[in-house]
Amino acid sequence: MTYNTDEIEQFALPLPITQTARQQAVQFAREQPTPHKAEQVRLNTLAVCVVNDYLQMMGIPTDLSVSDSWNPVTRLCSDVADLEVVGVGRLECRPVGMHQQTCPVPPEVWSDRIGYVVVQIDEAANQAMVLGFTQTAETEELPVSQLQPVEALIDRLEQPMQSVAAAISSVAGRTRVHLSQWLTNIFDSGWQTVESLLNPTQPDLAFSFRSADSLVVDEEPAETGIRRAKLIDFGVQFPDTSVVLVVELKPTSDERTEILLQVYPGSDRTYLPPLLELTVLDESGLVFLEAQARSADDYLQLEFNGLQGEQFSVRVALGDASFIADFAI
Amino acid sequence: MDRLNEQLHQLVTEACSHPAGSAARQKNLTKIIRLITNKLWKEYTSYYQDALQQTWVYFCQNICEGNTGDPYNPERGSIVTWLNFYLKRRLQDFYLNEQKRQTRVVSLASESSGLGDSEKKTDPIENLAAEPDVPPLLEQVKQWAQADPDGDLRGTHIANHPELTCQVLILQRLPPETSWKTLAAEYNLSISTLSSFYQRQCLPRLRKFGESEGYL
Repeated sequence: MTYNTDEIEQFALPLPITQTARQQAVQFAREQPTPHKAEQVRLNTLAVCVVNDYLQMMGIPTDLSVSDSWNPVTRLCSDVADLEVVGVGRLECRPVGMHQQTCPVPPEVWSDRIGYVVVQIDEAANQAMVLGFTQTAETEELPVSQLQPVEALIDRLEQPMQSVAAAISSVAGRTRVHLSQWLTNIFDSGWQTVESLLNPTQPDLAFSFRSADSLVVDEEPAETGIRRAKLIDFGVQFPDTSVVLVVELKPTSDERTEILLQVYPGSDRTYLPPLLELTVLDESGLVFLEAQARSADDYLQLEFNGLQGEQFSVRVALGDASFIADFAI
Repeated sequence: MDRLNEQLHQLVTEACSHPAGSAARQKNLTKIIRLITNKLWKEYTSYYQDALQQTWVYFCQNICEGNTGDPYNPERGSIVTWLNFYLKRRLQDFYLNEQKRQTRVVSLASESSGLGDSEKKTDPIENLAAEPDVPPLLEQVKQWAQADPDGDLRGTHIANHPELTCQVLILQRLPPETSWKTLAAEYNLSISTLSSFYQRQCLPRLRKFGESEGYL
């Protein structure tokens, strides 16, 4: 339910920029060390105030005191315009000028947000137009045409958990897969043999641990590692799009284990869906390794090693839909 | 105007058929705001927007049930008329307040500075006292990051990159900040890896510093 640039005027919501907001914005701006930073803070503050005022009208409680945009240190150290919605999370309120086709979204606000509201600031009229809302924005320039009308924000605030849950196609309540068990032939349900999920004539399956100096051809399974695969279906949001995640382990001579992750297209397709992302996250949920499919990639691969007991997660994502599995070596 | 009133009547009926605070009620109220914004009384005073904001809150509170005032009564007139009445009363309050304040401020200015220029517009922000002589926040954050008393900032780094610590990134992102693009090229990591680490590990520490130093 996105709308084109011409319809924006129809769906944008005009709201006043109060004198209170203007004064607050100037005050915060005056605290900044450079003119560029001051202007950034001034506009961010206006946007946050406008959205805060709107939520006040709607009777949706907010808490500025825990928002980074209201904390002088985080405000100084990042381009942030967040507004804490009580019981839901941080809503990012990005300002945009008149007649802009895209809204800048700084990288330091791409995570940990329930969504993004784009607020067009018309200083001459002391009026703001809430152009729309989007749940994710992992881009530095968000096209205004991709926004949904502000009603989508109301829906998102009402049902915070539903939209997130719908995106994950794995079993609710993730259990951690203990890879050490694979070495004794104990496999969690859902992890099948590679052959049962993939066509063995797919050429790249012949290659296992591809390292800088040698290609190991998978003729003797004992030489390589233990492999298992899982089918990931993005069906609900992306019909006919399934991929196969292959995890292969190979313990090395010391206590380290080499781990090879591969993602292949499912359903007898040749190429992976473009922009499919394979990410490895470390124990604290930080991105550790990542790969993204381009337009005609037949598989994605990431390789790393870790110590016994170390934990990591693997995320396979397409647009808003993502699958995450937790592992322990 | 009739078609508008017809539309409004339908939206109000729809909005009020849902409980207060429900998404359906909120969405319908939003639609009404969109429709009538341009029909309300407008004036070009500095406090107009504050009065309008109060009017919208009043609208949402009383269009269905009378939470803070008498509920809207369609028999007494249109919604626009009802809101304009409230808006003009708020504007008048602001006007009277402004008159009182200006009288006070002008008399103070003419007493202390001896300026007889009554046409000089007195901006309350200009009259704010200058802050006492404390080092700017930037300096304080820089000192804190450099000192890193318990080694926490130095000890927190991107996996497999011990040189990329919170300390390093925080110092580089202080204004005038090094761009993410430049940092990504310098460290040979994606912008999203760097900014994700900054968001998840560095910002919480900065947040805590801001809270603990009593800046809030």
